[in-house]
Amino acid sequence: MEVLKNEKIIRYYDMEIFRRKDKLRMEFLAPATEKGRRMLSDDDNLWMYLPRTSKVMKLPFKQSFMGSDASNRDLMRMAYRKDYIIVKTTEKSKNILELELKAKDASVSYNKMIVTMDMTTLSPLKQEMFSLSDKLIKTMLFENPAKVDGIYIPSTFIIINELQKNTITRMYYSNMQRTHNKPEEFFTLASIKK
Amino acid sequence: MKIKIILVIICWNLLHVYHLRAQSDQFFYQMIFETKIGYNDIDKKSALNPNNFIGINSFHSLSQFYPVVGFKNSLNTTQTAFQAEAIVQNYNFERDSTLFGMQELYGQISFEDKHHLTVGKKRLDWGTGLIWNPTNFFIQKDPLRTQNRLEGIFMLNYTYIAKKGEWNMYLFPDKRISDFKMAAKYNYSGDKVDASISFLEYGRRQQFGMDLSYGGSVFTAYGEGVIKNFTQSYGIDTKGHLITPDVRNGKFYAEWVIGASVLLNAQLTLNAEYRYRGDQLSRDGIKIYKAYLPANTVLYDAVSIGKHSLFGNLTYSDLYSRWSIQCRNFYDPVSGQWIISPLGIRTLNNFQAEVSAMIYSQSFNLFHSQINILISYSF
Repeated sequence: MEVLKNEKIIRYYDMEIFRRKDKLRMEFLAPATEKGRRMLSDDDNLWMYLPRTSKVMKLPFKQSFMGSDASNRDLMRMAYRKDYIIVKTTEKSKNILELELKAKDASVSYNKMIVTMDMTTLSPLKQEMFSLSDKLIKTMLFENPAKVDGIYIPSTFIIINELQKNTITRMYYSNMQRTHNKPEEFFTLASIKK
Repeated sequence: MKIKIILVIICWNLLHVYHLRAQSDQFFYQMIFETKIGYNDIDKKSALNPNNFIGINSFHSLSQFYPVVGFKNSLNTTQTAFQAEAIVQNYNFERDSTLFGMQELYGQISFEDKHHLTVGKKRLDWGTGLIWNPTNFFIQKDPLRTQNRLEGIFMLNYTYIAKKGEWNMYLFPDKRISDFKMAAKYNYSGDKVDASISFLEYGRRQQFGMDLSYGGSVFTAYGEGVIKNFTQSYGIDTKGHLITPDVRNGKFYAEWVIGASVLLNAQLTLNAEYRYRGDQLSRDGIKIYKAYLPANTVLYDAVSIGKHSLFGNLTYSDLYSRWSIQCRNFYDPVSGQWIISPLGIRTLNNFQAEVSAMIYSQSFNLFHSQINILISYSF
């Protein structure tokens, strides 16, 4: 992941990510100051393990993810079905579908989202996030879909903070696999300390 | 000459193997350099250290180097891991003051991510408190720098991880094998609640502890406490005589912490913590302590010497986590000691710089104020 300001990289991170249902576990590999840091999201909770002190602390979903343009919720919470309902679908052109999602309650970060889907690959192309006052806050662009076990998954995410026009965050995914042998216990608070 | 050539070849090959292994995911290393330089504004009227009797320097420095190495290996559902962290530290750039030590040195074997057996020296993470952890009998943080790399303790630990909880059994060897300490701990992790209970025993000494935290995305409240029948602190009698910890042991007393953390907005966080320690000085005890200084300096604690301690902190971070500023406050309502400690942190990818100050008020401290600059580099 790269965070750029005025086209210059100000932060970068290498991470390894595992997912199981709505749980996500992330381990930082670089830079050296963050090596060994782990994050775990489990539905409504987000924890971070700091190897320097062997301490686990709870993080708020609304905070920026490691100083990037994404919030912790944008990257660590995998619950769109739980948080949003589809209120409108529009066919923008052949095989391009636009979905308008509305938040089920006020606890989520964005009141409205518009997701543009490529129906040939069934992968997202763009996601626009709006505030309660219907103001565009962030845009996520999904590029370079990679075919992983027969499913297309975008391998590049570009996050544009519409309120701070001079910054951008890019995420590059590699070595993606749809299955792993990690048991449920691997996605627990106790396990990220081990 | 032949032996030297053979040694050079062996070293070259070892370096080559080391380099190859460093490229794999299994092997990792990290080098951390930290240098702290500071200025002490010494209080020459201090009752603890009149006219700087103990000879504290106005300027001080501490350089620390932490090499960390480790490897992880997976075979089916069994993982083995080894990690070592050494420390080399030097005070005031004097050759004689260089010290070497091991912070951590442990091996771990895990089965199916559920059963974990750890042997060696490792840090222990008991407690939910941000500044103070009464349940953690073994390692206490520096309240003025909670991010310090702490020294581990020797242990044999078995952990069983379940879906919503974790069982831990510990044995801690002491100087003699027969003097080992024994501990057990159970942690529960629920949707919004995390809780744990713990028990520690060695000889006739026992500690019963529990902690609890309740939190959502913007607010977390926590509490942590112990009842124990031993202390590591000195006491003082009405005539100003010191009472050693050994004499004070045997009677149960409580020590606990409550605290909260509130995210005011995406950049502003408020923390507050209160600590009660039943084995520390009451208001009358502090009067006696003050009357007999500096003979009872052993009771001195820079942050708090009374039963009650308060901590409050406001942190402001920039949106990209490149810098943050904090205003930390420590207050002891029994003695009136108050420390205001502003802190600024600047972070680049592998580099971090911290500038902090401690301003002491109404205290028995050695200083009026202190200023520290800490520079840290990792690769």
